[in-house]
Parts: sequence; structure tokens; C-alpha cells
Amino acid sequence: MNELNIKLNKNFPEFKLDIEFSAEEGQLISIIGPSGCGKSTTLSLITGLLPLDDGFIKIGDDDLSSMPINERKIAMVFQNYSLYPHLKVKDNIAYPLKIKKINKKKRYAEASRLLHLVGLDGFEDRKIESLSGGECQRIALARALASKPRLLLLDEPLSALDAKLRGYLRDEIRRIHDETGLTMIYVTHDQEEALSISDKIIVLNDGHVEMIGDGEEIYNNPTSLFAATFMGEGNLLPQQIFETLPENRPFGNVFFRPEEAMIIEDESLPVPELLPYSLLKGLNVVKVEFRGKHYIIKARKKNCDILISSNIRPKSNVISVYIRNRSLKYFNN
Amino acid sequence: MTSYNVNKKKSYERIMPIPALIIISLIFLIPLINTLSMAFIKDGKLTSSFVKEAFTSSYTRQILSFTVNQAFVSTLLSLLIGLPGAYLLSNYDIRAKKTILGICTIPFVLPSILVILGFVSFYGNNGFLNQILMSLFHLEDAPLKILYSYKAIILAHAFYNFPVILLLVSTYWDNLDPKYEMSSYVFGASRLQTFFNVTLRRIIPSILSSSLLVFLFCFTSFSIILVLGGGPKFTTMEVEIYRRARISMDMNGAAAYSLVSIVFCVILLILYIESQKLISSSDSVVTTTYKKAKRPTSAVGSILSSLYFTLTGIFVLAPIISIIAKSFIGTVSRGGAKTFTLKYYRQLFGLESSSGVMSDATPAIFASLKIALIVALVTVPIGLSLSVATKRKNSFSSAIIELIGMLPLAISSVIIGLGYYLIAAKAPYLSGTALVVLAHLIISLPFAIRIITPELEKLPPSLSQSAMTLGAKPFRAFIDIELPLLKNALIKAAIFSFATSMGEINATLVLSSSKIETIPVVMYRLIASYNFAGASALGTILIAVCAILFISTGSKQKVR
Repeated sequence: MNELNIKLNKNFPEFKLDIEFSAEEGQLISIIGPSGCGKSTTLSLITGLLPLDDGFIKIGDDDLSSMPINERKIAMVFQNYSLYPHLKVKDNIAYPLKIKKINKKKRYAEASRLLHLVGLDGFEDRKIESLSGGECQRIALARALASKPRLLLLDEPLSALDAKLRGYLRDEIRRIHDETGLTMIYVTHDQEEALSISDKIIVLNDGHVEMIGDGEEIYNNPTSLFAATFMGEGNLLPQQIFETLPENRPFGNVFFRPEEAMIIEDESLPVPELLPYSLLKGLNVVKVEFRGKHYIIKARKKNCDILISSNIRPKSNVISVYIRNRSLKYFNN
Repeated sequence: MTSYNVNKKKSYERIMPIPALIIISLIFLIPLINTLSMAFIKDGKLTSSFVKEAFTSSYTRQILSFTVNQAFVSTLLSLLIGLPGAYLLSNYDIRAKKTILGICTIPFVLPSILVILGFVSFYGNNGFLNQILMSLFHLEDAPLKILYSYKAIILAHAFYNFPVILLLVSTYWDNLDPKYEMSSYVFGASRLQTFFNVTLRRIIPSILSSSLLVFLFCFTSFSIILVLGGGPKFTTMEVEIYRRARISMDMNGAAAYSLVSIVFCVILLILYIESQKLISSSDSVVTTTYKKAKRPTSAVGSILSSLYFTLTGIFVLAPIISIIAKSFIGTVSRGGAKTFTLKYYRQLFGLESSSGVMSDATPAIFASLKIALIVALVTVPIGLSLSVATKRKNSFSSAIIELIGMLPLAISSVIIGLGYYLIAAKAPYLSGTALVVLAHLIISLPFAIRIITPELEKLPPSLSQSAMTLGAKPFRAFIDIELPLLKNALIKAAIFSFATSMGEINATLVLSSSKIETIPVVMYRLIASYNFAGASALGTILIAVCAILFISTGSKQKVR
């Protein structure tokens, strides 16, 4: 089993990076975080474009950290794709094979096979300048695969594309991952992309790891406020504005996601909930947005803004909601 | 877009400039140091008398005052001709703008010997302009007598330098953010008030900077003054260096005057660099989204601008056309009428005997082609390796390279020529051709670097980085990926070096012995012996070679 074990330390004058994570062979890991959190630096350190101050990059028992870039067998799909404009599509894809001195016939056969894999059959002799953004992205992926890497890095590969194409190519990358069984590290700033594509997500903040886990863990049981708010919308409220809260609760502000709050339609009736819950009453509705499947309600109580996602439109301007106790998190910020 | 800042230098980037830097110090520093040392050493003894004389004598003051005087007046005339054009180009919507800019770049690349010959053919007492005027007004005598005088020098310098003013100022003016002018209009200022209170103040840095550049060019002008000035009356610093070295054989004096020239050029260069800083600190970038609305030409504006551009077009093209015309017109029989003839070309190639100094120019043509080819082939790899080095910002070698880029401004080609002339005595194993090649290499290198470096900087670093992640060693990535993408820039640099070498006269004249002759040197001799038709035939060949080269690169860029 070739497990991936990575520990990276790098000090810049104004930025310090210190992260550690591991992955099983064949996993697709996402690294997510706001801009400036160290995502690209992480990739540069793993590929060797930047030297490490300290740490290791282990695949199985091999430590790659002291190897030159070209011997690491870590391929990367660059954010700008960095296709070679003077080479045809097939020569771009076959470039890593040319370095390995594989003969032309085999090179082009492999290029055609990879073009088929990425769904661009017949693109062999196309010029780079004639390609669309999505096509460039897939050619770059094919070229990276041609080098037979032990690890493939993808640096925000979909950020330059429009929303519809993004969704499609995201699934394509997952499919290619499943077909090749390659370990991949996927960097993104889009939480939806991370949630839908990855086996494991690493939330990065200011050069350190905030949380590692699968999508559900991070969304449902975030261990830090940063991880909680970065992976989706949420409310962070002081305890005193709640009507009721669980007895044995920790200190700190209360966090819950907008869709966890249920609007009480008729206050004269008992709340139709079997599990223990907490109450928030007297919320003034500021704004109701219709989003198709649901409504986003912006409400206020005592200078606190509260976001609620609901299937029904509130009937009155002052509403009450309940939240299941197991959906409540407590953070000291 | 994310950049992967690589602070560990790729090893080839560290190694590549080293051979080039060694070559540079050998071919540039050694002759220069040798020259300057001769300003202080006579017969093995240290002396300051040459330098003291060169800096303080009344003769120096006389030369210096004339050098400054002609440079100042030349700059003024260049401004006078260039500024209206800059105004028109940046404020009016002119349809033929591309053609105009194309014509304006001709003087930039025109060898000075062609300018001289063109001026003789067009403005000379027997030139086309006088002939036209004489036949128009039925005059007995040539009405314009400007050749071999102060006027000829100034006019030739203006010919050379007004495009510098025109192009630099109009580019700057074009890119000015119009927001201040707009707010000035909003506050009710008239167009004239706005121009004087707002626009003029904003373009002054660029006028100042381009004027300093022109002043510097005129300060170190050599062959134009030597030939068109026509006498010891008009001696500038560079002419004095040449005169001492090649006519009075006073090497120490020539070296001392070289030092004087370098000192003044460095002062001017520092002023120029400061004025450049002034430009970059002022707001030259368009930040507002609305571009300056160029006025559609009114009837008067339209007439004025066509008049201006027609006149400057004639000013630029007439001397060149005169050369070509003159080379084909002559009398076939004694006393016969002037007709089209190829006799000067036949004489040039030794197919027909001629009277006087006109002799077979074929060896000179081949020598020029050979030298230019070697210069082009050597300059480009050296320029490339130095350009790669400049990518490393804030390093020792990039500082050196920026210095080399400024070199032609501080060290004139006369001084480079003198350097090799003086070295030749100490290094007899260097052939005449080798000396000329080395001097031309030094002169063309800064241009090659200026062509290659911007193209290299345009390449995203991720291109070679991705090649490395795919298994290529750094140098392999450079060869496979970056080099092919630089192909056009390298070809352009080669052609520029070739053309520079083909037309170079200053350094060649200073260092050449009678054994080594190039096209410009032979042209110079022909002009000096008043064989203008022969010089024109040779000049036409030079024009043809340069034109073919530049047109072929121009069309290549359009295709791409």
C-alpha cells in the first residue's frame, strides 16, 4: 500500500506554512481555503517548485522531498493549463513520453488513448489556440496523466470556466480518477466543488490545517468555527437570545446551519418534533428571498442577524424557530 | 492567477549567463580599460598631463561648447518638427497612422552613411531639391547652399531624431488617462486653457526625457559631423577623438578625450534616467475605462495634418529616394543627356573601368555580408543568455546586464572603435575582420537584449515549470519549450544585429585599416572623393539588403 504522507514547513518573511496530512493510495483529496491560505504554496512545495524548509513528502517509503522536480513523478495541472502553444495537441500530451525517449508511434498511440479517456477523440492535430477553455483543461489533464505520475495535483483546474461546464468537468475529473485509480490532490476555493468530488477534504487557513475529514464530517461536525463557516453558511449567536437551550451545554456561541432551523407555523399548536430541541422566538423577518426550491429568510433579533432556509414562506413578520439540539455546535471565537 | 514563485534559481539560469558575462568582460571591458589607461600612461610612466589638458585646455572648451551648441540646436529643431506630429497622432483620429509610424521608424534603422549620402543627393548644390527649384524658377545658380555647413549638421540630426520625439511623446500622450482633462472641462475651462494648465504639464516629463535622449544622441554624433560639417571648423568631441587617433596619431590625447566624452555622457545618462523616473512616477497609465475620445478631424485639422505628414514624409523619404535615383541616372556618352544607366553598378563590380578611385567594391560587399552574418550569429546566443540572466531580479548579473543595455548611450561607438584600434597594436593575432566583428558585436548586443528580454518576460513561468513536473530537466525544459516560443524574437534580434553591422560606420572607420573595408567605409571614401553616383549605387545595394531584411520580418509578424 503506497500511502501518501506529507509534512510541509516553509517560512516566508510574512507567511508561515506548517501543514501535515496523509492519504490512502487512490484517494482524491481536496485542499480548500480562502485565497492567501497557502494552497498554491502547498502545491509548489509538493512538486518541488519551491524547496522545503523542513518536512517530508512520502509516497510509501520513498521520501521525495530532496529529489529534483523532474524526478519526483508528481504531475500537476496548472491553473492556466500551461499548454505549449507551439505544439499540437498530440505533441503536448506526448511531451512527457518524448522526454522518456519513447518512440513516436507509441507516443502518439498513448496520446490518442488519453484523448479518448478525457473524451476528446480526434483532437490529435488540433492547435492549442483553437481550443476552448474546457478543452484546454482536459488536454492538460491528459498530458499530466501521460507522464504516469505517482501523484497528480490539480490547481483550481475549473476556476476559469463557466458554471455549467464546471459541474460537467468536475464529474469528468472524478470519473477519470476512478478509472485510473491515481492519488490526486485537488485544490479549490469552491466548497461545493470540494464536497462533490473528494474522498477527503483538508481545510486550510493561514498556512495551517483547520480540519481534515470527509465532506459530511466537515459540514455536519466542524471542529472549528473557521471550518464551519468556510464549508457553508451558518449562524453564530450568543446563548442569551435563545428561549431554551440544552441543559448540559458547553460555553461559547451557538452555531447552526440555516437549514437546521424549522419555522413554527402555528405557535398555538405543540411543536411537531420528537427529538430534543431548542427555541428561538420573536425573530423579525427582514427579507425573504425565493430561491426556487426553498426560501432564504433573513431575520433579526437584538442586533443579531439570523439566516434561515425554509420550504415555506413565513406567514407573519415575527417568527419563531426550533433547532434540534444535536444540530447545535458551540464555538468560542 | 496564481504564480508559483520559485526562489530557488534553476541551475541553468545560474550557469547560462556566465560564459556570456566572461565574453562581455573580455570584448568590452578590456579594450575600454586599455583605452582609458592610455589616458594616464605615457611610455610606461604615470602622468596626468593628458587628462588635465583634455579637461581644462581652452581648445577643449571650444570643442565642448560647439558639441553642446550643435546638440542643443539639433534637439530644438527635432522638437519643433516632432511635437506637432506627436500632438496630431495622439489627439486626432488619423487613418494612415500605421503608415506614418512605419515611415517614422525608417530613420531609426537607417545607417548614418546613407543619411549623409541622401542629404548630399537631395540637398546638395547639385542635388535634386536645387535642380527642382532651379527649373521651377528658372534660376542660374543653386538657391539652397546648406551642405558642408552648420545647417547641414543640424538638419541631418533633426532628420535622425525628430521621430524619437514624435514616437516617444505620442505614445506617452496616447496612454495618458484623460480624467484630469475631463474634470477640467467639467469645471468650465476651455480647450486652450485645459491644454496649457493640464495637458502640457502632464506631457512635459516625456518631452524632457525624449529631449535628453536626443541631446545625448547628437552629443555623440560622429560621421554626420565629419562628412556634412566638412571641415575642422565643426569639431565635436567624437570627431576630435577620431582626428587625434587616426590623423595626428596622438593616442594618449585620443584616450584622454574619450574619458572626457564618457564623463559627459554618463552625466547626461544619469539625467535621462532621472527623467525616466519622473515619467514612471507620474500617472501614465489609463485607469478610467473610457478612452480619450479622439476628435474627428475638422476640415482645417484635416488639411493641417495631411500637410504635416506629407511634408515629414517627403523629409524622410526624399533623401533615400534620391540615393536610389542618383545611382541609375548618368550620362552615357561624353556631353550626352542624362538617362537611365547601370554603368555605376558595372563600375562597382569591376565590369567597367572608371576614372579615379572607383574600384571594384565586390570585396567590400562580401566582407560586409560576412561580418554581419558572424555578428548576427554570435550576438543572438550571447544576447539570449544575458536575457535569461535578467529574469533573476536583484542579482549581480542582472545589474550588469542593465548596464550593458545602457552601454551605447554612455560609450559611443567611436570610443568602442578606438578601443579595438588600440588593442590591435597589442594583439596582432586578431585579424582586421575579427576586430570589426568584435566592435559590431558590442554595438549590436544592447539592441538584441532589448528585443529578446521583453519576449522572454512575456512567457509565463508555468510553461517551463510544467515541463519540469512532466519529467524534463530545467535546461531541457528551456530548450523544448521556451526556446521555440522565442524563435520570432531571436530572428528579429539576428536581423537587427545583421542590419546594424551592415550599416555601422563610426567604429569601423575609427578602427579600420586599409585592408578591411566594409560597404559604409567604401561609401565614405567615395563620398570623400566626390564620386556620389558610385556611392549611391553602393548605397542602393545597402538599402536593398536592409529593406529585404526588415520587410521579411515585418510580414512574418503579421502572419503570426
